[in-house]
Formats: sequence, C-alpha cells, structure tokens
Amino acid sequence: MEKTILKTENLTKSFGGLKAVDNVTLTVKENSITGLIGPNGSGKTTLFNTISGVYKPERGKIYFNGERIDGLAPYKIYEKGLARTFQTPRLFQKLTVLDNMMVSCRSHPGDKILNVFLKKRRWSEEEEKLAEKALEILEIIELDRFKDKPASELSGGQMKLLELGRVLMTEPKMLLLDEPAAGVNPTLARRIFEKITQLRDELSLTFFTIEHRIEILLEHADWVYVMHNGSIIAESPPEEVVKNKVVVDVYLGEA
Amino acid sequence: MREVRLSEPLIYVLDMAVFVGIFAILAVSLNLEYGFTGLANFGKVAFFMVGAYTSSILANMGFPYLACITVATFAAGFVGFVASLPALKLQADYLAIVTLAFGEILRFIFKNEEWIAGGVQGITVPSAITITGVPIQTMMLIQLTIVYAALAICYFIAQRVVNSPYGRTIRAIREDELAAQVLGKDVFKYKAQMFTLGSAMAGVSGSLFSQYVRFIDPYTFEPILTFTVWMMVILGGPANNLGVILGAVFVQALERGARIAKDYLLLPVDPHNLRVMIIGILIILILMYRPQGLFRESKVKTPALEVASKWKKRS
Amino acid sequence: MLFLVVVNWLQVLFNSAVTGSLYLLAAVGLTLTYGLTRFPNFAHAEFMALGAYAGYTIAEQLKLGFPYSFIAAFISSAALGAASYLLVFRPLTHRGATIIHLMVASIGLDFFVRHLIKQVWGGEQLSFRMVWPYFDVGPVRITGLWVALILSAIVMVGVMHIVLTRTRLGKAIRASANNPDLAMASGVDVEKIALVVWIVGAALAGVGGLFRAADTRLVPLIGWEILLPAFAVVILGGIGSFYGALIAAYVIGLAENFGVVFLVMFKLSTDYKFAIAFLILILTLILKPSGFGRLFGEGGKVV
Repeated sequence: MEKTILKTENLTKSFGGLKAVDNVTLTVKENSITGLIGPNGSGKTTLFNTISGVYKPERGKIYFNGERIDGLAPYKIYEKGLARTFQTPRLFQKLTVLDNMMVSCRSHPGDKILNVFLKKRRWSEEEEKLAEKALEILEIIELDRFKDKPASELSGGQMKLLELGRVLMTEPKMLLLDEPAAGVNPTLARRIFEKITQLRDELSLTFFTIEHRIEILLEHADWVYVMHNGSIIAESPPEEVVKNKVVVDVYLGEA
Repeated sequence: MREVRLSEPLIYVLDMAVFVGIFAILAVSLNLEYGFTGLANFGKVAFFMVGAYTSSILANMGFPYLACITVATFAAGFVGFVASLPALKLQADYLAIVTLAFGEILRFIFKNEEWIAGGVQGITVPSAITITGVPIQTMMLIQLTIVYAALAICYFIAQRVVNSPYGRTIRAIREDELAAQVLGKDVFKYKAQMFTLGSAMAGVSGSLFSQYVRFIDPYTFEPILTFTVWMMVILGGPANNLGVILGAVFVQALERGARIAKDYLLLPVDPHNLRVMIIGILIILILMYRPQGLFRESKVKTPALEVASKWKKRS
Repeated sequence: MLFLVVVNWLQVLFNSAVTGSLYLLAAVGLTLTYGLTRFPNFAHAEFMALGAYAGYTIAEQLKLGFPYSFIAAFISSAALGAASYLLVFRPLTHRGATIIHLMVASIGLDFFVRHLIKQVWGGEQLSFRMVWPYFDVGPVRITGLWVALILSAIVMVGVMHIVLTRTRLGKAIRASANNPDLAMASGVDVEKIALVVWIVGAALAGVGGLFRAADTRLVPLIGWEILLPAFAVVILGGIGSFYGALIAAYVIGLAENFGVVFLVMFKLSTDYKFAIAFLILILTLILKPSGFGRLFGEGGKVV
C-alpha cells in the first residue's frame, strides 16, 4: 500500500467564473480504498469528471501510474485502466443486463468492424469466454438471474450494482465510484461496501470513492479526503476525520 | 418516374417489387444509422443521389453495370465518410439540421452545374446491361433479380454487423454516448463507420434506382425521399432489419394504393399531394401511437446468448 | 477570373438590413420554440408559407389591401402554430417522444401542411400585383415594402424587448427558454408559456413569409427556402436567445448580400447564396456551438 497510483497536481476546473475544482492536489495509494467526502456542491463529482476525462482541466496535471493523463479523451483514460461509475447509473437501458456487462469488455476482437466480417470464429470463441466471465461477475453481484432482462427493468439498487459489475468486466486497475451506495437501503449499502473491500483484496484493485453515507465509508476506507467549495480542506485516516474540527464545522455549517 | 399503366398487372407488380427492393436497401441502411446507432441522418437522399448520379454518368460513358454500381457504392461511402467528419461531432438535433441542409445543397449543385449531369434537364441513363430482343417483362425480371441480390447482400452485411460485439457497442452508443465513452469506446469512430457504411448502401440503392428508372434529375432527390425511408424504419421497427424491410413493403403499398385510390375513387385531390399528406400524417400518428414500430428491437445474437442459456440450467 | 462589377455598396448595405429584418421575423419563433420545447421545428417553414398564402388571398383575391393581409398572415399562422403545439408536439412530449421523434414529426407536419397549401392554392408561382411606391436616398433605391418590413422588425423587437424585460410573462419566457426544468421547478407553467411562444413565433413567421412573398414571388416552397437561413440565425444567435437572434439575423443578412456580390464577381450562380448561411451554420457549430447566446446570459444548450 505504498505506491501512488493516482496523483493530481493543482487541478482546477471552473464554470462561468465559479471554481468547481480549485487547485486540488491529492494522491491515491495503490490497492487502497480512498474516500472523498464533502457537502453537496463541493465539487466532488466535477473532480471525478475531470479525472476521467469528461471535462478537460483548466490548469494542473493528472498522473495515473506515473503517466500524464490530463486532457486525454475518456476512452483513452479508460484504456489505461482507470474506470468510473456515475452518481445516477448510466446504463444502456434497452440492452439486457448481460449485454450491459459484455459491452464493456476491453479490446474484444469482435468490437472492430473488419473483424466482424473476417474473424468471426476468433471473436466467437472470445465472446464465449467473456460471457462466462460476465456471468460469474453477475453471480457475485447477485444479478445473474436478471441476465436477459433489459437494464431499464432493474431497481435502483440493482442498477448501482450492475454499473459496478460493468466496470469490473474491464479488469481495471483503479475505479472511481461516484456514490456507490446512494439510493439503496442501508443493508444493501453495507453489502456494496463489503463487496468493494472483497474485490480490492481479491483482485488487488484501487478504489477512489465519493460517498455521502460517511459512517459506512469510514468503516471501509483507508484514507479520506474532505472537499469543500472546490478545495481539499482535510485528509486523514478515517478514524481521525470525525475528530477534525474543520470538517465538523463544514458539515455542521451545512446543516 | 416511369409511367406504368394499370392495364398490365404483371408489369405493375414487378415494378412495385423493384421499388420495394430499392427502398428496402435504403431502409436497412438508415436502420444501421438511426435504428442501431441513433444517428439522425436527415440527409439520406444525398448519398442516394451521389450513387445515382455517379452510376448514371459512368453508364453514359459506357461502363458495365458492375463497374457502375461498385464505383457508385464507393463514391457514396466516401462522401458519407467526409460529411461525417464534422457532422458526427454534433448532437442529434444539429446533425439533423446539417445533414438535411447538406442534401439540399448537393441537390442545388446538381441543379445549377449543367456540366455535371445536365442540370435541371436531368440525364437519361443508358442500360448498362445490353441484351437485345427480350420483352420488357424479362428485362424487368433481370432488374428484379439484381435488386434483390443487392438487398440480400446488404441485409446479410447489416445482420452480421448488428449481431456481433460491434453491434452491441453501437446500440450502447445510441443509449448513452457518455457512458459508452467512459467504458472505453471511441464513439466517434463507430459513428463514422456506421455513417460510411450506411451511405455506401444508399449509393448501391441509388445506382440500382438510376438503372431502373433510366432518367434522373434534381427533382427526383427532394427531402421527401429521405422521410419516406424514415417512415419505413419507424413503422417497421427501429433496430430490427427484417422489420424495416417489411416497413418498406408497407409504405410502397400505401403509396401505390393512394395512386390507385385516386384513379378509382375520383378524389378531387392531386394524387401527389394526397400521397405526401398521407405520409406526413402517418409519420405523426405512428410516432404518437406506436413509436416502437411494428416489430420490436432485435436481440444481439452472438454466442454469448447460448452461454447464458446454459448458465440458467447450471444454477 | 475576377469580373469587374460596379457595385453600389450602400445599396448592398441597405439590402442587408432588408434581408436581416426578414430573417429576424422568420427566426424569432424558431429560436424561442427550440429553446422551450428543445427540438428544431422543421414545420416552422410552413408557418411562413401559410401566412404568405393567407395574405395573398386577402390582398390579391379579395383586394382588401396590404394592412388586412398583414393581419390575415398574423392570425392564420398563429392558429397553425397553436394547432401544431396542441395537437402534435405537446401530446408527443407527454408520450415521452425523443428529440429525434419530435424532429421527424415536425417534418411530417411540414409535408402535410405544405401539400395542403399546394392543394388549396395550387403549385404554380403566384405574385403580388400590388405596386409599392419607391424613392431614392442618394444612391440607394428604397421601396415602401422594404420600409414596411424594416419597420415591422423594429416594432417587433421593441415590443418583444419590453415584454421580455418588463413583464412577468417575458421573464417566464426567458427563464423557460434558458432552462425549462429549473423554470418548472420554480413554479412557471412551462406548457402555457410554450403555447404563447408557439403562437407568437408562428405569427411573426407568417408575417415574414408575407413580406418575402410580396417582395419576390409566392410558391409552396417559400418557407422551406427561408428555413435554412433561419436555422443559421438560430444557431449563430444561440438557441433560445432572442437578442442573439437579433444580431445574428443582421450578420447573416450582411454576409448573404455581400456574398452575392462576390458570387457575381466569380460568375457563380447566385442560387449559391444559401450556401453562405449553411457555411455560417456549420462553422458556428464547429467553433462555438453556443453562438452569441452566452453574451446575453441566455440560450445555448446545457451539455
């Protein structure tokens, strides 16, 4: 847990004069679960959007595995092994649960137009293997019985899970999760975080997670960043966050 | 378009069958773009036009059918590719405006530049197949065979594309572009490829059309043609290749029906106006009452489906 | 290949004001409905055409004079705008139509109305026989019709400006065109606002169509021909932005009239002048999709 996998330096992104992300410098250690908390509108999702390439940063650098990734297109960043989920799940509604999983396969030979015609046998074999893998992941997240259903028919919590499953298909090195436990009941929320911890240990993944359910996050995180008005105002091990006066002020100030 | 008298039922049926085939190719091509990839191509007629003019000019220079149709296909595909580069970066509504305007501008160029293909006068197209001394019915049967062979090939290509991991990706792009992007898809590349393939197919159709009607002018390629094809796709069922082909049959039957009805019922309406008014109203009615079309979206048929069905038995 | 043409630049400048006023009338409704109902309404072309034909009937067939045909154009297009929104687009939106569905439906409506017009008035070219007084100001030839057109545009801009800035209705329109969800959340009846805008926008388009017809000729395609420059105005001005459209209309008017001079110099068909609008449209979309909209803190689309 020593090596740094993600690093941002003086990252800034603003909208019409308002600095949504203001000079953010942070590091995420490999194989950790790093939390990002902060009141609504503090810039957490904008930070994720900037790291994942949805927005281009105005200023600052982003390193992933020692490589500069700022300014790259989202799909390029993904190719480097940095995947993400959304606050409101963005599933492919009309596609089946299985197809949602299969879409995110990395470098599938059948995902190239010429191979579709010329290398049918090769991609068909690969397709079978990947389908097995997809079903195994679906089993882990307990969605395998819905495999033939369109994604639009899932419940909110199931959608969250499917989005998590979808990014796991890609064998990422690191995942940015935007509120993985939002909108699900507390029991399921706990289970989602247990799964995240389990995945971290079994697949040696790194997680960088926004979460509003601070109590659950603090149980599982190794390190926590606190964001307010676009800036990182505190960072510490989880057990110390609640004692931090600045953090408490920010949250009480909001309430 | 060629006048066909109703007194010759066989010719009439063959004529309609040829038109169904030509339009079915357009419907399949628009289905790849809109039905599967979600691209609002409002300028389908532009690529049909490029195919038709290219083929006609070549036929006038004495090239054989196969050369005409091949070059027309590549020409339309190329124009589609070039047009897609700026256009596909745009959102759906902008894309619609730009493609529609592109078709109109292309038509204006063919209209104003007489040196290309006769301007408003149009050009007659010599048959690229020369068989002397056969009756018109036989010629039509030959045409029909060629058209349906081309349709079969286009259908095969489209089915192969959509029932593959690639086909899954384009549907994902249609559903949520941003999500597809963060899952590693170079969305623009897929769109450009589908737009190019769709345009090339429209070129095939245009070439077949010009060889069949044997005369084309800029008035043949008005925007209504694009939306006749849209109606076929929306009515048949977007993202269902068989559905849109049946949509083509249905819309052609309807258009012919309007003409026949006019002749028999002595309606005090101009048949062309009636036809277009019916198309306009039907488009709205379908979108209002059956926007998913007659046939449902087809599944992505790959070996993954088999694996999944066995999985059920295991657990 | 340059041909020396004696150009009356002041006349070109004046003509640009005429063209700009026409495009402004044509585009105001288009941009506001686009902002409010969030799709480009291709049937807007027929709002212009119907106004022109209704005006023609009053002025030429009933010989009632231009002021009456102006009113007829206004009312008939307003009615068509209301019917379009209430019978087609509002029900479609309620049924969850996608933006592509709405656009296709608007094309369907366009075809229907255009061929209905063709059925009623015939497809042949008609022209207004009305004679307009003209006079020269220095080297510039001015006709009464052009003065009426420019005055109509100015009055429209004045009234719209007062309504948009001084009245509750206007503020609701601007808020809704900017961000319909936010407006709805703050208690604005967006559908009622939309209906008003559809009616007024269509009526203005009808007036624009009438001026175009009186100035040139009347064919069923009259609206369709102005639709592309109208879209160019909408995009350049920023979708949903009234003030953006105001500037954009005259910019495109200038570009077209000066462009025509160059087309003539290069011996190209002046038919290509509508490619100028297309060029502006494409360049705006590629370089600055929000157009002028952001200048006024309105319009432009939220990504």
